[in-house]
Amino acid sequence: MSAPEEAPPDERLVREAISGSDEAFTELVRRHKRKVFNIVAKFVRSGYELDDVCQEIFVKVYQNLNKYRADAPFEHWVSKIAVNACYDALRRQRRREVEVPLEDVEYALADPANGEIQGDEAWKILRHAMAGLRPEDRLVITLLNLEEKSIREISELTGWGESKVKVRAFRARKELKRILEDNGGKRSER
Amino acid sequence: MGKDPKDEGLDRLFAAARKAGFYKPGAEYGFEARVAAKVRTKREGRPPFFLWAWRLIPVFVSIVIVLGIWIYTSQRSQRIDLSAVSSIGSEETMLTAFLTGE
Repeated sequence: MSAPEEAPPDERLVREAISGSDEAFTELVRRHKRKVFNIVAKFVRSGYELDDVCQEIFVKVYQNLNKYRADAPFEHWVSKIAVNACYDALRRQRRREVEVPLEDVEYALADPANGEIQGDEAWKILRHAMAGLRPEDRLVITLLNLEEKSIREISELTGWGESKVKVRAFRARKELKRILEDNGGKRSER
Repeated sequence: MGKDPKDEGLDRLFAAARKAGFYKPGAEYGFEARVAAKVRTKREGRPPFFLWAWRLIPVFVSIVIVLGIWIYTSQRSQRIDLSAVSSIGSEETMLTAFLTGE
């Protein structure tokens, strides 16, 4: 009985893809698409845009394969490209005024003894509220609080200094609290 | 000093959102094929060098025309008036004849 064949490491697939192997590149896409989809889905507004941005990312990966240095895992290199693509997507989106339903906000920010907030509901509220943030602030708060990256990791992914990341995280949080509070207040005046 | 309740509320929102799925299952279906098609289009769509050179021809033609107009207009202003030169010569002859009484 022969031993099962080990899956080739990413670095070998990269070399084969650079040499012209479409199968090698397809395998790389298959391995890393879920990670990319998970990152991008936190930034886009529709399924169509999600697919579009993810395709754009892997095309960039393909075009820059010869720049990949195996000093860091391939997944990390792809994540960096993905984060930059998400930042570009955020800058293309127009910031818009946010109206978050009063009852959702009050419930969401209420005493946890009232019960757990549904994940879908929480995501809906946050997505609406974050639409009012500047792109760089939204990028940082998403990576920090949804992707659960550290300040240092965010700094490496974005190329921004750690101080800048901290300032943007603080600013984003402050603005989010203001948006959620203001929108709850507006509805109560009616 | 206790934490700001708004901060706690926001943290709860983030914690709940993290548990949610961020995209519909099935969104990745057939994704590799779509990417492969896009990569092929980009690879084949790159125009060869001579097509780039072809696009530069109108630029060169425009430069030649502008240069030609400039050279023509500058040469015109420098053209020597031979009748004026010849008249200078005859004026001197007339003056000499008048003074000498010839």
